[in-house]
Amino acid sequence: MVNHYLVGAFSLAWLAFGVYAWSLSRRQERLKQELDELKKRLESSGSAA
Amino acid sequence: MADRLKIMTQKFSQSILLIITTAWLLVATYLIFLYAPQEMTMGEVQRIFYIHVPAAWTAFLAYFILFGASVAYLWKRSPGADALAQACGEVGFTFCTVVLVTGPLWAKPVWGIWWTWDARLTSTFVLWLLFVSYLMLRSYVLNPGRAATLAAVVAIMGFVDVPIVYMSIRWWRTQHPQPVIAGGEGSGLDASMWVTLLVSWGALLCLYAFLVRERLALAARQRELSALRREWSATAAKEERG
Repeated sequence: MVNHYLVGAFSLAWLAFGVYAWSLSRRQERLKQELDELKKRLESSGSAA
Repeated sequence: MADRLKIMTQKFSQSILLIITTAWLLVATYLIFLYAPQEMTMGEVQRIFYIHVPAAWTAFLAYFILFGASVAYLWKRSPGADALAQACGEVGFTFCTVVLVTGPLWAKPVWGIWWTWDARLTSTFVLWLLFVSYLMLRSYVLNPGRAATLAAVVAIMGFVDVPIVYMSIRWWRTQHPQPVIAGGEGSGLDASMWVTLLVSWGALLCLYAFLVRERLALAARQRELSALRREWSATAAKEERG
């Protein structure tokens, strides 16, 4: 028989780790986009000059 | 070229660490559910022990490193030490949350209550609040240098709670069980339980290392973005003048 407390504890623990890992990858993605955009703008302003 | 090579090496080592972590976690899951014997008095629910205790040890380790990195930051003003402290603050908070979530789910079927304000549970809750205050300080103080200094001071002052959490079940009578490990006569674990516990801790340590490295990579990217923003502002100002 499945123990609900045991399943709950492991599921919530993995959910906590998963949510944190997901938040890290989302922040990484957002920063990467911002960096690429800024690099492009700097390059275009450099070539215009 | 050198930067690109460095990034590629970091990505490669991080992928290797991810593979090791995943494999180790799978082995730990097998040991927890199929290898470790069922405890006689608590039954199946005792298996929560194999995530609750290693998560607590890892949260302690995170706070130790947070403390050391905060001291190093205040002493040397090194951005690397500050980034490490921030990474350990975030990852340690996650592990401490896991401790506080799995604890009550173990307590309810065994003690009949979800929570009690005994010395061990209260001091662990205080440790979680310390992680929260550290992270809140970092996000709400706008000046990054000031935020890092204030957060380092809070982390150093809060370190006093770590030995209190560890010793609480030795110093006071608590609802939380007396130490099973290093608890003196009559305490101890079956050999197969020891193996499972240590393998589980190893797996969580790998996960901890992986998450800290990811957070450090994020901090490096944030520093790069700040430098580019400064460059962009300087270029825009130059164009305006010209």
